[in-house]
Amino acid sequence: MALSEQTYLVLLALADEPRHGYGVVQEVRTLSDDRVKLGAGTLYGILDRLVAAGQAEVSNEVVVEGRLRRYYRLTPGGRAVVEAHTAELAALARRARRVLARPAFGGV
Amino acid sequence: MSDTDQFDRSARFWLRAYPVRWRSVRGDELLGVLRDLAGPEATRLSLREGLGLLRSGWVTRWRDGPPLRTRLAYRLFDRRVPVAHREWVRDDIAGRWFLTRRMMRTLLIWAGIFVPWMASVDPHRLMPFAVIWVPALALGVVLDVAPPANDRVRTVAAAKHLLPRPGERAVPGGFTAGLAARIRISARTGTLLLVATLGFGAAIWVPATMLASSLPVPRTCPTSAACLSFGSQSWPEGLRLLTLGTALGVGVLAASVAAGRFARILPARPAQPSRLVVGHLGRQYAALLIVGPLLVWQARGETLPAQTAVIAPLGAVLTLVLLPGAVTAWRATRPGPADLALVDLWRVGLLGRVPQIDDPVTGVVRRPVATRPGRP
Repeated sequence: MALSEQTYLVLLALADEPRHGYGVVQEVRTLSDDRVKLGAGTLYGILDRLVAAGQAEVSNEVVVEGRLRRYYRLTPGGRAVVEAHTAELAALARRARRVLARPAFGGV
Repeated sequence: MSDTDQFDRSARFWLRAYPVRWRSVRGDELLGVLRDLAGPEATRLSLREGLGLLRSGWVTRWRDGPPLRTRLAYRLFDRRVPVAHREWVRDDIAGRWFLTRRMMRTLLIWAGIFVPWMASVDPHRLMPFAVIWVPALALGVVLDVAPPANDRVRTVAAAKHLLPRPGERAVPGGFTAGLAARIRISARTGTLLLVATLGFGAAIWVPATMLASSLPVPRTCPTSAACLSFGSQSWPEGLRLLTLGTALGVGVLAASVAAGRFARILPARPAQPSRLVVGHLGRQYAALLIVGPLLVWQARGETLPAQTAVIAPLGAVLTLVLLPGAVTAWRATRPGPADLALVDLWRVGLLGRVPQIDDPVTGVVRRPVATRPGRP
């Protein structure tokens, strides 16, 4: 599955501990430095796809103040995907830094 | 209503974009997230969040169902879908607009056959075909919004599409044939709708009959006395009033007989253990709103100078005969408990007989799921 930025951020949000839907939204905001604000519809579309692909699973359900909170966690497959994508981004960032460090020729 | 209730109502409205099954599993969870995102002061879901749910809900609907080819085979040719998508079919059959979708399918097939042929013969003939489309679609909507009327169609569809065929493995929680309650239209809802429909019919057809320039008259054919045909003729106003007055008189007389039967038989009616009485007024009024303008348009057409009114006088006589009986039946159901069905009133009022006890019917039910007994 090709990873969009939003999907990658959701995977990252679930990487350190299981989180419920609202917890994922907050963590994604923190990870993206307040730039990505997931709507509930978008979040559950991503979670549905991740669960169907076997990259995330339900870990627990609790009721807090009358609200059902279902916690999600990464599966080993999901963790492998997020680690591989992080490595790709890191490699890209290294290459980008090398390119930007070269002197620019032919510019005006 | 508290702010939380108001918010939940607003959110659940948008959540209807998701499939029924998805909502039954995840609806409360998503509602909790929506409340958290909106904050404690919110009384309704923001339009932006609502549109996001609408988009995601429809994407989920599409992803949740069978592939396009299977979907088209089911929609257009009523083919069974593989076991993996039976739950999707169940939702479709139980869905609010099931009969409208079926009506659209029939119209599409007809259009596929007849439109190219008509266009090749005479393009002008396409217009009447288009005129058929709108009332036919309206009929589908009406059948859908008058809920119990379509129950038989849904049961037959469920038996065809959900029951396992020989060779298919029966799974726990899957579908199987079993005994189910007989669904009947609530007497209270049914009679109220009947009074509203007949009242509406009388309100448009009686004036149309009085205003029509000519009405049909029976006459014998000049060649043979055994033949009867209809011509048109201008009726005097007195004759029109006499005809309509007679119809109303017959109706009142029949209603008084029915009222006596209701008072005598209904209090001693038998219990109905295998019956489920249903009826939703809102949807049925919606049906009237859809059909009403069509009837007004048709009645107005019959009052034009060159037209012979046919439906208006027939409708006026029919509604005036039936309306008093319908009002009487409605009054009889007012104090009645919830087990009384429209069919009971028909049997009691028209035939003077005691209501029959409904037998359970063969329907589609879920196969029980075995559960492991818990430890004390």
